[in-house]
Amino acid sequence: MATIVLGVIGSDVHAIGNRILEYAFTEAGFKVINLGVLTTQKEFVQAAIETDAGAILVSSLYGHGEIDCRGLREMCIEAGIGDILLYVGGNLVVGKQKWEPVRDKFLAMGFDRVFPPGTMPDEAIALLKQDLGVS
Amino acid sequence: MALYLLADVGSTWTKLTAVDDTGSVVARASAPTTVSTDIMQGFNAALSEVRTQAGKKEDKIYACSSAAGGLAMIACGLVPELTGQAAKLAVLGAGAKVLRVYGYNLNRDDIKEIESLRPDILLLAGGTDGGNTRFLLENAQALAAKVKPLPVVLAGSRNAVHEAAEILEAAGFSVEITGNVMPELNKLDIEPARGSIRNLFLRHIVRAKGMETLSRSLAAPLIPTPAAVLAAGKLLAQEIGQLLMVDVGGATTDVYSYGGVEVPTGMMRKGLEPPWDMRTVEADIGMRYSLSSLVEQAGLENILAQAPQEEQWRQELEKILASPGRLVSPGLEGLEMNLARAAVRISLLRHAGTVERIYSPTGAVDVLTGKDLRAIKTVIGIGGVMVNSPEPRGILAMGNEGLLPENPRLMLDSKYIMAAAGLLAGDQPRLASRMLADSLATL
Repeated sequence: MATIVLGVIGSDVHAIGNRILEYAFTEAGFKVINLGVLTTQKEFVQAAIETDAGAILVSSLYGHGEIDCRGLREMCIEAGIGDILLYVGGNLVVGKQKWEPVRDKFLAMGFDRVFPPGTMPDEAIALLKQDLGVS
Repeated sequence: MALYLLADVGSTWTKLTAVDDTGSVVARASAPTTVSTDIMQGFNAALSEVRTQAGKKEDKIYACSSAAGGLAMIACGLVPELTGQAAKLAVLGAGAKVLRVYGYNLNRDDIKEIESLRPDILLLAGGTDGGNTRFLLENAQALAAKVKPLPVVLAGSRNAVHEAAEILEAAGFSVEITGNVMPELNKLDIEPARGSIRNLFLRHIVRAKGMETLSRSLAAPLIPTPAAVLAAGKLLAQEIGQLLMVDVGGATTDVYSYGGVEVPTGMMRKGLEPPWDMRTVEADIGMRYSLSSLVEQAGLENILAQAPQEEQWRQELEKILASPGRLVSPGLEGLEMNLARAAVRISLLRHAGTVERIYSPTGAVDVLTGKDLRAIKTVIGIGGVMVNSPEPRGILAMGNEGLLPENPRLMLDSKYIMAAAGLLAGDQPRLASRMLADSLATL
């Protein structure tokens, strides 16, 4: 089964959702490399290289997601893993903003999938299996 | 009564210690190491003196060696901060000298450099188990194609080591496959690699003439001297608890710690989990051959800070820099002490981890990287610089800085017993403890 790298990006310490995701993706059969909270872009990229991960799943719950996530795709390209799947989800921006512009902003940054607050793990799991071509 | 002979074949001196089966040192002798002719000459010279002193022949001989540059190794990993660091820690933990650490793919310059450095052993790692295999295989291919055969320890992803071994063996390399130094991300497992390095050391390291003859007379395999010191510290730590040792030499400063791996309440760890017994070597921190980089790191103004006559110290320092064999002039021991204190401080701070306070919207978090040495209660000084100093306490005493031990008890290996005791630590731990207890002086 595919290996995925999971973590909460930036100075964000929201640990509970991270644990739930680790549990759900492991149950779904993925090998989960969970970097936990306070994870830097560099740590995501390095972990993905060393473990040969098929996807990086980034969580951001504290509203600074836009700043923290900018440049992650470029860093992957520089590091030789430019084709890796990048997912992001959570409270990605401050306040209540319309979802579509937020989603488009993150898609433009190079993320393959962007998930709004309240997404159930099953939804992301189904899409990840589809994107990776595994069942 | 049994007599154990413990030999440390150093780069300049061959030191022999004889202990009886109560652990008492009954004889000691040393002779210049005869590395240019046959190391057995120097060894036999010291041996006959020890036998005379002891009044009898020994029953068993154990030996370690750092002659002919010791065990010199190269480590290759994938990501420098991950398997690169794990590979380096494994090499240091086996008592070897690290010539270079490479990450990612070996390029042509790296290959040329490896060929010109000619390490005794190369440790090839990369990828977690189930993780990346491409880099390990490509590096094995690059080595097989362009480097003259040398002993290789394969400690990378378990999914690629056998294939990598076939590639290297087909080119005439002798290979030992061992456990991955980082089987899971950020989890170290360096003990299997250490064991394999020791095995290959035995079989291949006979660079100095006579080393093989010596090996045949031994009761246990010949090991690198730092491995013996590491073993002595481990035995001691099992008895008295967490421990830190620092060995200030002419070219390098070695630091050994046992413990400091627990994450204090309220902190969280990031990065590699450090090994409980960890050795680091600072190649740019030493009292003679690495003096210029030591002074640069410490800052000349700090070294000269307590000088009664600054100009006098400055001139003396220049003289020592010009001729590393020089002893410090009488009356200027304070300079030597300041240099040694700087060497200890810099090396310990590099060995220890760091704490960074990160402010998140929900409050501050302290993030720990590496070892927290604050709870360590004992610090031991090793090496001639401290043993010969009128004030070894002044060299070892540290302010409560960073994650260094807080108000530890300071001790000194005043009789140069560490390597000898370490040689007996495996077969005769009771005797080795007794040797340590008798010799270590509390400051």
